[in-house]
Amino acid sequence: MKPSVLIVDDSPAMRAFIRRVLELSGVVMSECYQAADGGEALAVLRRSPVDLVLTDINMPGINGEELVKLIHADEQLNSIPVVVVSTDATEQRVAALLRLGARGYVTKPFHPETLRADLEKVMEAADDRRCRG
Amino acid sequence: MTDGVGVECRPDQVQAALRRAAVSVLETMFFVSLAGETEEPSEAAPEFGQPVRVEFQGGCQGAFTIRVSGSMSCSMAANFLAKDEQEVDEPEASQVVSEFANMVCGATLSVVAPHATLNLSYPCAGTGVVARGEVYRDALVCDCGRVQMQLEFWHNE
Amino acid sequence: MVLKTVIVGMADARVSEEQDSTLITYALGSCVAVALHDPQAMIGGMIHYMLPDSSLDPGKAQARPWMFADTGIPILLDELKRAGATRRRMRVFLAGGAQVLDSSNFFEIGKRNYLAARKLLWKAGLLVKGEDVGGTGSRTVSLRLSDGRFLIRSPAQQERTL
Repeated sequence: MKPSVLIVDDSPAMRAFIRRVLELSGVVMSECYQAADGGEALAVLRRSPVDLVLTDINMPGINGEELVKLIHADEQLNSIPVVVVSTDATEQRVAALLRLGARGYVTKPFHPETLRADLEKVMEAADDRRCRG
Repeated sequence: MTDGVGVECRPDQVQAALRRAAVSVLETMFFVSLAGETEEPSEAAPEFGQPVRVEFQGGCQGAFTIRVSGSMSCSMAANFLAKDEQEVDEPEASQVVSEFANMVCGATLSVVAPHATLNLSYPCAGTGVVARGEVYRDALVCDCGRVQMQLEFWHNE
Repeated sequence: MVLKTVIVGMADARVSEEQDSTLITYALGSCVAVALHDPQAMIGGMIHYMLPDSSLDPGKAQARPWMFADTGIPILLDELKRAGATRRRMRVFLAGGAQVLDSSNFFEIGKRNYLAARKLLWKAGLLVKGEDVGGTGSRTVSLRLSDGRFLIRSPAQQERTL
């Protein structure tokens, strides 16, 4: 299955970087949507099927933390794995986001290979859930 | 401990954390290395681009300002976006410096204020803002240019 | 079967299309070895370069392009492509970049060599499958074409595979 991916970050440069990592990791995407904040991300999620969300935390409007909460609370969306990509490496922020429903957390700065490894884990776990589900 | 609310390090540790965060971000995301010379932080020389500023609030408050030399922003953008330097346009170079500021600020605060939940503003042009509160400065000479940084912690009025 | 060893010298690079061959380079200090393997085409290549940037000595770069990351790595990638390797299938390994005292007197040359490889590979669209870099010791590394194993030997540690 070719996954469709949504990258949420207010920096176009960071979105381009993450997209390149996905492409070089051999993830053949059916679609790669991009959104600059949580509001735009929700609009994409409500109109298009998405298999994986990667989101920053600090964004204008609906931030990444709120986005994770909203996705988790929505029956239509809560099966979509969300990976947080943020500069905030504090234990309590990481724990809070994972508690809210994020399936992975990558701290910036990161090597492209670190993001690839974390995404592979999250995608495999999501496949397992689907098979069991 | 510094007087900045939420900051859990001594001033020398804050200074070291700022340097470590900047070097780590430069090396990991931009493939930029230090050139081995050191430079005293000083007023921005004309060849530096516009300063970029990130403000933060939450467990502690303050701002982080960064300036990079003109040629360096272009090299950083080319490396980050995997392009040739000639292909990089001005908005791309400026977005990349903004992302650099965001990463260095976030990585430093994660170390010096590990229990503070902080919100960082979107990086924006920061000319004409006078530093206040507790101020840390550093300057780096890299293989493709120079960086000047300033981290401020504001006290509650 | 007689296994063939192809030695990659200092400031040198080799490409091999013989699947019973092993590319090997000795005594990497601050130098870096980049090894690439296409498991389907059974093609491998390795470079052992000494300095990150040919602008340090353009004259030498002309005569010995393998000495520098920015001249050597692109030529190696071209040669691998010409031999039939494909970027998407390529597995990439890095080793070396130690912090050693040497006569070159360049600041942190090991780290700069390592970052030069990372930059060039990222720009060429290649992620790194495994790396063993930094530290202070010397390394000998080999790439076995038959199974793509990248082996590292260093004085203080047991032989290991990435």
